[in-house]
This record gives sequence, structure tokens and C-alpha cells, in this order.
Amino acid sequence: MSEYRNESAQFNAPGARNWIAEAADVCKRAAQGDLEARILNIDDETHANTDTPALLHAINHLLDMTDAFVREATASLEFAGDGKFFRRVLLAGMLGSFARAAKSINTATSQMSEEKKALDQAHDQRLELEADFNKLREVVHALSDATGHIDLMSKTMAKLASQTSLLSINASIEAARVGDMGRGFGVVASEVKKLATQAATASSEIQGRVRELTGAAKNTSETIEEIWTVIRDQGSGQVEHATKAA
Amino acid sequence: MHLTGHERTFDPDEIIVSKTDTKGRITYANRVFQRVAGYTEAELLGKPHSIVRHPDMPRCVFKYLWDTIAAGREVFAYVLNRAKCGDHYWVFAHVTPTFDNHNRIVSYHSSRRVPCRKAVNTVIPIYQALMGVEKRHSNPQDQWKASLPVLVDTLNKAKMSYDEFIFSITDQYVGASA
Repeated sequence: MSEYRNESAQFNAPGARNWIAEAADVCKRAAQGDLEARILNIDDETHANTDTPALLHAINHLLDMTDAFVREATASLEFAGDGKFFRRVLLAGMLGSFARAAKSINTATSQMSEEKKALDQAHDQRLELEADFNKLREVVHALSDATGHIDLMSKTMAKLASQTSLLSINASIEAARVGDMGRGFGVVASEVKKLATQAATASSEIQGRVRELTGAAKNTSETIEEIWTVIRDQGSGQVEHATKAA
Repeated sequence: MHLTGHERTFDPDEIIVSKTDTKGRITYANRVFQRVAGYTEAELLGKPHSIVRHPDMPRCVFKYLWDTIAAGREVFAYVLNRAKCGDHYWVFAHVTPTFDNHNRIVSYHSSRRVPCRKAVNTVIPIYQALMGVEKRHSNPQDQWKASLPVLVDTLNKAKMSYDEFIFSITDQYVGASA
């Protein structure tokens, strides 16, 4: 200690550098976060018999190590915050607590990277589900359309049956008008009437079933659309979250 | 330029540190730098950083390096340097800009570590190819203009960004004993 004081006094002569004051200033700047501060042009020879040069070099060395760690840690975390996890803190030259802190950052970055992978995978699976569900929607819509067609066809069938029935009545009348000669034709007409009645019954049954089907298809369609809205909202929510995270 | 062909190295726990102003003039060189490059502090201060440039280093790498740090980003590079006596030494350089409180670049900082041999061996043929292109030109600007697209093409073929490529060949321990 006295040695430094002597030295400091000795080199306080005009024009000479006050090493201790310089060192104190550099340390003060560093404590305030200015890691650019260094002691330049350290005079190793003039003070070769004192500890001063060693102290000054040690201060520079301490600053070099601190500076390197801060730059490494900042860069790695900035990259990770940007969603890029390949930028690890370089461990070379990092000793003791510096090394432990650097390793902790690297472990955290690896974990973040794994979580990001899992999130990406979940996102891909969701996209797949969305695509599959969209196919299901199309099938349900097609089914609904098909029931509509069947309904139309059964209505046409009912109309045909009623016209056929009318036609068979007319045929019966005409058959009666020609007397005995028309008897055979009258039997045919009555058979045609029976068939028309059966067709009418069948088409009415079909229409009943089609109504049930249409109701079920409508319900299915509505439920599917509700689920679809949920899936899509989930998707946009996830994208929003991912964008915010990035 | 005198070259001995003799390779120098330094301890894996050591870091060569230098700082430059925005024009690339050295404002700080730590003792590891002075020892490995074989210059005194007085010989280095105020000199352009290219004082340790080795003629086998492609210019396009430095062009990319300076463009990147001038844009405010960090950059890594495997660099072959030349010591004062003509010896050479490989470093894994990390160069970063230093900002003031107004986010303006006020200086540059470089930490250089011992690279692992495997990474150096990966980089050597790439640099040789780039040098092959640069040798067809005499003007430095023509040299990097010709070789930079070759570097970009090499990275495109590897389907990696420059940073990803560097980290793909770099172990986080670099040359560290850990």
C-alpha cells in the first residue's frame, strides 16, 4: 500500500502520469457501466520494481473478461429473444462465475429451443386438424345438398303418382264406356291405380325421411360450423401469440 | 510481404482483445494481442486493424465483417492473421459495435479466441476458393466484388445464413478446455 502511495507521490511531478488516479478513474467508469474504459500505454519499464504495472494490467484484464462476458450474454439473449437459438454464449475464455453464468444461459437457450420445437409441432398438428376438419365440412355440405336433391326427386315422384292416379281413373271411365270390350282394360286401369297409390305412399314416406335427414344435416352442419369457428379462432390466436413472441 | 509459414497459437483460456474507433484504427490492444501479434502497444495504437492482415485472407470476408458491424450487428469470423515477424495465427473473431446512450455506434470491439482445428479445416478450402476468385483481379474493390457472390452462393448451397454456418462449425467451447 505504502509502495503505491510513494509511487503516486513520485509520479505526481508535473507532466508525469498519476497511475493510481487513472486506475481509480477507469474503475469508477467501469462501475458506472462504461466497459470501454482501459488504461493505455502502461509503462512497464520505469516501474518494473513495483507492483503498479501488474495492478494496472490486472484491471485491464478484469475489464476485458467482464466486457467479453457482457457482450456474449447480450448477443445470445438478443438472438433467443428473436426466436433464434443457435447463438450460444462462447465458453472459451470464461472462467469461474463467468463460466457458470454462461452455461446457465446456454442451458436456458437449449430449453427455449426445445419448447419452441414442441410449439411448432403443435402448430403443425393443428394445421393438419384444420385441413382434415375442412374436408369433413365439405362432406357434410355435400350430404346436405344430396338430401335436397332427393327431396326434389320425391316431390316429382309424388306428382307423377297423382297424375298417374288421375290417368287411371280416366282410363277406368273410358273402359266402362265401351262396356264388355273394355273390361280387360278396366282391370289394367285399376291395377295402374293401385300402383300409383303405392308410389304416392312411398314418395310420401321418402319425403318424411328426407325431412328428418334435412333436419339432422342442418344440425350437423351448424355444429360443424361452430367447431370450425373455434378451430379457426384458436389458429389465429396461436399465430398472434407466435408473432408477439417473435 | 514476409511470411515464415510458422503457425503461432495462444492459450484456449486467453482472449485477444482489441478496440477500434469507427474507422478501424486501434484504440486498445490487450497484452495477449501484443504478445501473439508481436507488436508493442505503441506500435498498435492508432494503426489500422489491417496491420495484422494476412495475404491469404479473402477480402470479401472483411467486407462482410465491416458491413455487418457498421449495420450495428455482431459478426463472427474465422480469421488468419499475420504476426509482425511473418508468423501466422488463426483466431475465431467476434466483433461487436459499441453504442452510446443514443444508440449511435461509437467504436468496435473484437474478442478473438483460439479456434478448434476442425472449424479451421472447414474454412480453409472455402477461403482458398474465394482467394482463387480474388486473384483474378488486382484492385481490392474488384476482388471482393468478385468473391462475395461466391461466398453467398456457398452459403445458399448449404441452405444456411452466415451466422448459422459459423455456429454449425463452432462448438460453444471453441478451443476451451472445458
